[in-house]
Amino acid sequence: MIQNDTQTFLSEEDLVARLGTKSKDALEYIYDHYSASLYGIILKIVVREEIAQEVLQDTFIKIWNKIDTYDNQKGRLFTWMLNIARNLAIDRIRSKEYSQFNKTNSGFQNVSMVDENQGDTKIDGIGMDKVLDQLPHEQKLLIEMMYFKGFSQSEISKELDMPLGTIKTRVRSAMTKLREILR
Amino acid sequence: MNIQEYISSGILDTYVLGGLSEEERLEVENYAIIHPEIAEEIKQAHVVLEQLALKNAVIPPAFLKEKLFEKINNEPKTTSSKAKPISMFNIGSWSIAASWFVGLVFGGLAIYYRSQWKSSEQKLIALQTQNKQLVDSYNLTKFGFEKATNQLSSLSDTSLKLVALKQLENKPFATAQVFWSKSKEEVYLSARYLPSAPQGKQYQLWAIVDGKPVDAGIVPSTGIPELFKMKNIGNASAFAITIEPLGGSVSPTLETMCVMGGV
Repeated sequence: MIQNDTQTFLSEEDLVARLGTKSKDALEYIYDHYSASLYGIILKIVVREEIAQEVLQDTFIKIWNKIDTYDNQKGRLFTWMLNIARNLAIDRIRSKEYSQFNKTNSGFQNVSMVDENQGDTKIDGIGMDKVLDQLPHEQKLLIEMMYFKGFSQSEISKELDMPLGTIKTRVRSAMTKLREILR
Repeated sequence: MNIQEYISSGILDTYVLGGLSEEERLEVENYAIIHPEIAEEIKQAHVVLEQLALKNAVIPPAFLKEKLFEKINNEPKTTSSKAKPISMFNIGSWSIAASWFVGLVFGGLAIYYRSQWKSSEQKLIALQTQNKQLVDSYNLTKFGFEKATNQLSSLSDTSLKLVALKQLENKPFATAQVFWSKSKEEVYLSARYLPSAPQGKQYQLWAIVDGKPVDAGIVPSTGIPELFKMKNIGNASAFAITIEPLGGSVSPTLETMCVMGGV
């Protein structure tokens, strides 16, 4: 039995192995340890809480069902889970259903709307914005578009009329800066 | 490929942020398999995003956890996505089914070619390693051959005299041969039938000159039976070998003498 307190620490290897054997205790453990981080990034992407809750649930169901596709060569378990959460959230904001709901709020206009929306909803996850605000505007914009809005470099290139090489070097500068800030 | 240039181009950062196309993504993942520096850089970028997520954590409402486990307990093996049943009597659905089929075929081909590509990359690396081993082993053999040729030419020197060193009483079996050219003062030792020296010890050759042992050199413990060129000796009545600590001794330890032979 895995206890719910945060004192218990399981290695990733151990967790992956237990999840693979469909241990609900292991799932509960990762829920207790990672749901807040995953929920934070989902909220940042989909903004609306009721949708974020659905996406979070889908995320854990996917983790539960797809653990056998996890490849530790490509990254740690946490990164894998973050990518699942991010991708499901991006799918959601790009779905018809969502854009119908947010007709005035679709596509690239969304980028500038993000901060306003988050100002309205009272959520705890302001840490990320505080960090991102330390980036030069053009770098922050690229991170927002790519990571939180799910646009590919080619889409951004077309939209901003910016060469792919410039996008990549700016993204690199942004990540280097973030590495320094978060160190 | 210049790995540093590849890393500083920002393609790996674009990769972790999800900004690459499927094809570009696979390329990065393959390079990461071949080049550890690239894998490390990706790992570092993942850590940045993990830390960002930790900073941004928001505790979800408590009821969500119950809902999730209720769902998992009830439908242990299904996902939450609502699959729409496809009616087989509807032309629109047929085209959907057909496009799914085409999609699956292309997806399958993509996966197949990717795995082929990956395994060729791995085979290439294995071949490169094997090739390097062959070159190493060739160089070693060539080195040994050249050495043997040189030794053979010194043995054909007519001034060389063979001195057989024989096993001493109550000692383990061992023999050795000294080839000595008195005029050139050159000494060669063949240690082929000396058992390997005990751990932390080495064989040392002595020449008996005017009744006194003179150091004629340490026998290298190479493990390869060959002819060693020893120190120059101009005058000797006998040769002997003792076992000495690594690096040799100034004077022989008589109890460890194992072979001896008079000139």
